[in-house]
Amino acid sequence: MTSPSSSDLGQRWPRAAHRGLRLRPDDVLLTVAVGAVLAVGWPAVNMLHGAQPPALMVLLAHVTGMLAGYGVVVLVGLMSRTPALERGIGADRLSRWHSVGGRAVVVLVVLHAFAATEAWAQGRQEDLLLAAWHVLRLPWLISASLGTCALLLVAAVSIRAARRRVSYEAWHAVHLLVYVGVALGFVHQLAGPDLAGHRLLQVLWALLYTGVFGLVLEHRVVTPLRMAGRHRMRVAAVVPEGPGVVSIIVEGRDLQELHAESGQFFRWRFLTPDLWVTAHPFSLSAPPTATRLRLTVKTLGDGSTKLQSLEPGTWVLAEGPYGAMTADRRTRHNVLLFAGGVGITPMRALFETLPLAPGQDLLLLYRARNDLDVLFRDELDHLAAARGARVRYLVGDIGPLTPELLRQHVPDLPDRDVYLCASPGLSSAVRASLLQAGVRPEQLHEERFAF
Amino acid sequence: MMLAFDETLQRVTAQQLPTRPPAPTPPSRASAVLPVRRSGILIATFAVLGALWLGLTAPAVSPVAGPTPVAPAVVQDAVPPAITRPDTVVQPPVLPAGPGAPGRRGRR
Repeated sequence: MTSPSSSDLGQRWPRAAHRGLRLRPDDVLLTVAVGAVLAVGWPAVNMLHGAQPPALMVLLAHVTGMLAGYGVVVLVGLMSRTPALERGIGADRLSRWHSVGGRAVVVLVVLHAFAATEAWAQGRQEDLLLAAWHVLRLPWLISASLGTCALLLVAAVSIRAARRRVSYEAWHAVHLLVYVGVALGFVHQLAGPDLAGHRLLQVLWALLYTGVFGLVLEHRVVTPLRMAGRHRMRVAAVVPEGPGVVSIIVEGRDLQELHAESGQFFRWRFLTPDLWVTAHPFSLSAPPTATRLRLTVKTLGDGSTKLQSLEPGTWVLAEGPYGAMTADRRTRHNVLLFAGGVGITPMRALFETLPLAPGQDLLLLYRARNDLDVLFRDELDHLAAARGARVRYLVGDIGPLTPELLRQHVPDLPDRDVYLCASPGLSSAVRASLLQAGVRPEQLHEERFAF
Repeated sequence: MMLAFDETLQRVTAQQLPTRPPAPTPPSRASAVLPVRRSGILIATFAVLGALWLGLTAPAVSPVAGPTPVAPAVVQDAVPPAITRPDTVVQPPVLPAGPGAPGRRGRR
């Protein structure tokens, strides 16, 4: 390994040519924001230009209703697995946006229900309970209320405290209620006072919904089925890697057509009676080949426990590849890979394939609780020797990963790209230290393996 | 685990330092790509037709007319008094009952 010369520092690595459309995060956020302004602006302008100035509750009911209806469709769109979004933004960030947006939409829906009922009560001189009863008896309000209950249930199981007690499979199954909730509330939106009578707006609003559900159908149903028919993936072997950790080798044909890259992940659905219902996200732990993919799984819940005893020959449906933590995110000559625990899986694959020209340095810092938890040690040592890269194992009680400690290991840290994959707690701590140590956000590429 | 990926590792060792990931391989058959487009076009067509159907058959008048506050006085003035006010409703004449009442036949 050669230390980088000062002239190399700060020099940018040319980005690889993009494969397929990638939507930039800023552009997507701007588009969503413009849509939100239109969704809020239409009822507000419409009502303020009316014969009488609207009461505050009426205005609040209209604005929150339109914004909630728009927000729901944006949330579904973010999770539609559309490749342009997945490639450009990354599943990890999309999931965080979805989480933040979900909270906002739930608040908007509750506010809308309250404001509409309160406005009715004020207008009819009724108490709130009687007004609620009258509002519920309006056409399509029962179904909209049931849809709201479905959304609230999903929100309840997504609260952090509840999510810890719920298995991934249960959480995933409850999340499917979102589609039911959205469908139940759709006609109420279309017949709402802000859209009714405006044919063009009604058609455009419906197009927003049918378009997004079309994306979901294409990318979450049709594409996985097509891939299953085309690539015919099956489990070839299940290999123990460590305590509670196995690698699953999946064989298939023409897998190069998937255009999967190191650092990416698939959502795997193993077709056994116990496992077929839920798709589990797991990173590739080795570079993909034309006939084989490898994923590595640690026992964390019911589903991943059952994966340990998969039989060779089990059929596999795979959605993907997803994730933007790939080589073409690189902006610098030198790279630091930081892995924590089972977060080594995508790093193991990247460690083998990240482009490394003479004079460039590739360093892998691998944090593990103890020696038994260190996975792929032989492979990593072998690759390091073969590629002229470096690997350091941070095992046992080494204290907090402070900026100073990281700088001790990586003196030129601010001038490196950093790829990070670890548990949420460790990721947060390392991210904070990296930023304090001078790594800029655009140099940090990460994937958090939490649902 | 090394055995399963010997092929990949040997490639790396043989080439020493690969500077680029392998170039994307084009699909071996056109049919691998076409079904995606076909299904995409089909779904997009259904989405547009569905939106047109939903939008054009949606109610033109909102049944949710509740939130607009309406003052009670306005209601009284706007509605004909003969219908809403019991004291102004024109009642049909009450005819006396019993023998000799108009329309009643009996022995005289």
